[in-house]
Amino acid sequence: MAIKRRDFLKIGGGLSLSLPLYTCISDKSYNSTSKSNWLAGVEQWVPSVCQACPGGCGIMVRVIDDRAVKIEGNPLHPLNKGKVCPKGQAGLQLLYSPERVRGPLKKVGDRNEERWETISWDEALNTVSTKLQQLRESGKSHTVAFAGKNQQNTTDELVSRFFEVYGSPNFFKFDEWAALKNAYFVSQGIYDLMAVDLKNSRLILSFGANFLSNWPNVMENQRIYGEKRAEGDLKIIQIEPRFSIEASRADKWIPINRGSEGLLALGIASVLIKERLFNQAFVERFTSQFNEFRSFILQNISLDQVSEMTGVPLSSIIEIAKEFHTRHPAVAVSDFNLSYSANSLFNILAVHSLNALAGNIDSPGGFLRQRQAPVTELPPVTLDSVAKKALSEEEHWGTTESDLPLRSKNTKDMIDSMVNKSPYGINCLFLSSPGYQFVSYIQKKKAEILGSIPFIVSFSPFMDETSSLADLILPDTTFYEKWQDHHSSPLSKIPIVGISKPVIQPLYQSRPLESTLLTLARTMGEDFAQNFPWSDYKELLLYRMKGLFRAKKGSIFSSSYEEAQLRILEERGWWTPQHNSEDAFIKDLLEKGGWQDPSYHFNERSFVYQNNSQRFVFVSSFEIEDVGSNESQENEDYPLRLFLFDLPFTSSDSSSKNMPWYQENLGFRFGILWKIWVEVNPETAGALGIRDKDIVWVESPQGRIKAVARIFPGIGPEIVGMPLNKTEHPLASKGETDINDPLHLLEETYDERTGIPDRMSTRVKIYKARGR
Amino acid sequence: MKKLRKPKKLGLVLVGLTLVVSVFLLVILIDSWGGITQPLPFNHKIHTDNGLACEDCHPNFMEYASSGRPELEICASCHEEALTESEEEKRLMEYIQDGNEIDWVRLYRIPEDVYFSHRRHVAVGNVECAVCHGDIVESTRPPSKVRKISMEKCMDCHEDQEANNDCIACHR
Amino acid sequence: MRKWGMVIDLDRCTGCQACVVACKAENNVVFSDPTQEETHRAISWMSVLTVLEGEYPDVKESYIPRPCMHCENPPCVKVCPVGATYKNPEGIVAQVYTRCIGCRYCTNNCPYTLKYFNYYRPRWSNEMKNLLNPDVSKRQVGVVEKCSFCHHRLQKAKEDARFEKRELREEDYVPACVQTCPTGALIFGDLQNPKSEVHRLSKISRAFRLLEELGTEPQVFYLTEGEWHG
Repeated sequence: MAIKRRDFLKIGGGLSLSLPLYTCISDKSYNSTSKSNWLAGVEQWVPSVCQACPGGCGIMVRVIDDRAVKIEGNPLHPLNKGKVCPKGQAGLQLLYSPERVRGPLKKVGDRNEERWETISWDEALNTVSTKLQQLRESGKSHTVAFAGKNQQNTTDELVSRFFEVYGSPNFFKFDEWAALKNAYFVSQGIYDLMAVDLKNSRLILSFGANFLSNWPNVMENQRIYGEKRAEGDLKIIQIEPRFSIEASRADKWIPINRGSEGLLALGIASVLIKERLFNQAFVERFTSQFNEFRSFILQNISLDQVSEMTGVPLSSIIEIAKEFHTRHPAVAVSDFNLSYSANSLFNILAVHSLNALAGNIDSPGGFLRQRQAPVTELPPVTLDSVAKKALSEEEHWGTTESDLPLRSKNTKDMIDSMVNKSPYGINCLFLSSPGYQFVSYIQKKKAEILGSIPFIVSFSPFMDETSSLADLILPDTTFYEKWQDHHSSPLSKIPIVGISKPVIQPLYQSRPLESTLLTLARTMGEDFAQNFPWSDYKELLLYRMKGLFRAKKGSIFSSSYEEAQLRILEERGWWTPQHNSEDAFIKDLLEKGGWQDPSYHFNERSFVYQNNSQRFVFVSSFEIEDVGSNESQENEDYPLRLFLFDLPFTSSDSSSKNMPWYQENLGFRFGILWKIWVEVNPETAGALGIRDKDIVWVESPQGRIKAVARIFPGIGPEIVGMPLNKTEHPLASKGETDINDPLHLLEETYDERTGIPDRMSTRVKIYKARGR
Repeated sequence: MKKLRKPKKLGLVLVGLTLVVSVFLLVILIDSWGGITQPLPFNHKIHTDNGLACEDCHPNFMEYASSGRPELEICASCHEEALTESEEEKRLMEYIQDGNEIDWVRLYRIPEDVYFSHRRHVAVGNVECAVCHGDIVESTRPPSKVRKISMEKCMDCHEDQEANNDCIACHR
Repeated sequence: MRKWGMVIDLDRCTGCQACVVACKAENNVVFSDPTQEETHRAISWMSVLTVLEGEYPDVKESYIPRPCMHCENPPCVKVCPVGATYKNPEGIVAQVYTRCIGCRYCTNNCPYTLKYFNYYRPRWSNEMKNLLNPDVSKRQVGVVEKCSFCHHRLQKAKEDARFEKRELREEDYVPACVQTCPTGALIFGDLQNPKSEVHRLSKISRAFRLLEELGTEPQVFYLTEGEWHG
């Protein structure tokens, strides 16, 4: 028998082929016992509301059987009109994150370690209920505290109602926009945000505002940006120390010394006043204390000095002022970025005074105030004597004397007062996804917090920093798995209410926070429970939505054509009902995803100005030290100033690290996927012998962190820029990111008047790290 | 006797070895290939003879890509009470009583790289079920082997029907 | 026959990355990890290139989203030894994973470097397998992948149209990136249709194509930034 070489090859070939063939057949996709093999394959698009950020865009989720597989925008939602941002697109990674907590967990053993025992919901709720009742009976209900994120929804109302009825004044939400609200309170008597009518505005003079990347209504602003760029009817001047996304999209970027934005605004105001380029009719009719403001400016503001202190050339100041006048209507906008300095209130007020000078308040293309959506108010609470007494207790985080409504609410005050047990110790703390700042600060103080608060409960759906603190985790679901509503941010001029039912049923043993609270309420005795008469959260939500039906205005989301019709009718005082019954209304509401009122009514003076004079109040009683930029002292050891900035769609956020699709793109301008970088001016880098992509240490008196140096001409020679909220690993589980959090470089300084942390005065040095 | 030359001997050894290994692999292959056992020995013929149409149990093929796995509810709608004395039906009744979905095993398989839509073929292309599923309605016992649809068969039919034969029309 | 193409208005793009993430979510593109970053092996069918020019403080930056160019004269197709990548009759440069032998000739021959090789088996955690799109394959290790203009959406749109007994409308078929673009910078349609927006825009004076001199004739057109951008 002769075997030819060729035959041999054939046999060998057959053999080598059969191997992969076998592996192919035994592949899991052919696994005959796999259940996912054969499902109904029923596909539907379920309308919902994205709550990955405070924006509340309308989304449609593609659901196949019981899996959610893709998110698109709801074309009828007036905010985002069918579009979704990168974070919203990555949202299902939250839902299917491996970091999800599967069910109630109890910490066993040492509180500093993380050893968990799975327990039943009954046991978990029983533990909490017993604890709450014990504290209440011993007159200590005020020593229970809740810290959560600022949301624009009914969940917020439910939580605050629960703690009011229970008898605790310590319901804490961090609001990064508080500084702006304070400014509007001072100037117009409203503790609210104003909307900017970008669509009709011809010049956006932005003092470091991230209106294209970090506002809750960014999808609206992005759409308007696109439309106006195409029409050629847009001018943006971006004034800020770093070349941000907004600066790159602006017609002109003007770098400025951080913290001196308000001073520049006063400089611009002085040109407007001296050259009489302001709206005199408006100033006379709608403002007060203009004369004081004028004399303050004429006496104190010299353009040369402004130019020197801000770093903005004199000619630019004059040019900006003239353009601000000629491109009417123009808006001067600022946002929370200006709040992170020790003179934040001054900066924001000074910028806003430009809008009053131009007469751009309550006018098209200017600043408008959103009307509240007419949802049904919750019935008033009936408090028992325990609650009444407890609510009269001092609120925990300081009541420092202040003329501002929200002086007391800041992360540091709150945590410090808890740790110092002043004015009293906290016995039980509930945590529900408080913001990034909060998380960063509690990481720093973990040991002290555990040492001073005997019982901590986390509602986090994920294993994260807050759940690692907890003694008990009652895992909430993500927003895709529950009934939810959302009220549009007041940064949009029209009120929008989004509403949705669960896209899929809750995964694992997670349970919506809302149901948990309603269940707890029922265990707290009859007097307590009567304040929560709803059988479930859905019933409560629909109860609120009925107000929209009865209000006889606005409409369920509809096409742009119908929307335009309605607006015209309503602005002339007409309205036509579209539904015969409440039930029909609610059904349609859930199908379309929400309600809106497209009309805007101008000249309702008492709504826009709620102070005694019903006028815009110019503030000129600034301390002179406020006016100057708050540059910290020169320091030879730390020659550079640190500029921390929020990455797009991340401000105040603590969940985006569970979205790797989204996280990996945040460094796209610097070609970075999974590193933290530091932006260095070429000149500075040259002097320090640092080359592009070197690994460097960034060190402040508070500590040091490692980063990749990127040479960047978009930042001044005396500053280095670093991003916040960037993770270095996909699916970073707790602890992996905290080492490199640039927030830990900050010195603990705060604006004394508003209590907001100062991100601007920390100085650092950078030097090459050895090795990689 | 002539001595075998060394190379040839080695060759034979190799052939033998290869054969052994191949047969071994083949056994594994056949083993993994065949042998599917349905949780219940479903009789298609009895059901169709009693007037049930395909869509009564596979409700989705006109609307979705997947034809739909028959749900217990569908069984229960006729088998409210046992209709026969058969052992199989007794077991079905247990499923219904316990409310446990029957874990039917998928019989027709297409490879992972193919996107197949029932709606496209049945609702749009008016293809009869039997074109791909053969005489399954006549079967009295569940087939014990996975039925694979071959690409050749797809291509032939597409050619006959002048349907799109572009690779990406089917390959995902 | 239709010829699908895209116009990208650089005036409108804000570099927000919505297109990039939408693409990954639609097409089961696994997220990268630090090792892949180190070895430049991360996959992203759509990526936004940034071009930064000038010196402090006179800098400008442009954002250039780059999907596969779906060239009329595709260099990648010419070198594929197995016909795994080809130009389909409607202008889509297609990639058939089961045919691909992973030789990477095409990735090397693509002047835009927009073809990606799967160096690793995509690592989806069990939880995340739930969000995979059943209309698109999970890739294997060792094959090349690229932007497909979401052609599975085209197949579905055709199916829908025939189901409803009507002609396919141009707007029935939109890739995921275009559908989500918040500023309307991405525009998609039939370049052959004289009435379509992409046809009109591809002829205006602002229109240009990347590396036009190579003669690849991309079917992705760009519109230059206007005067506002200096």
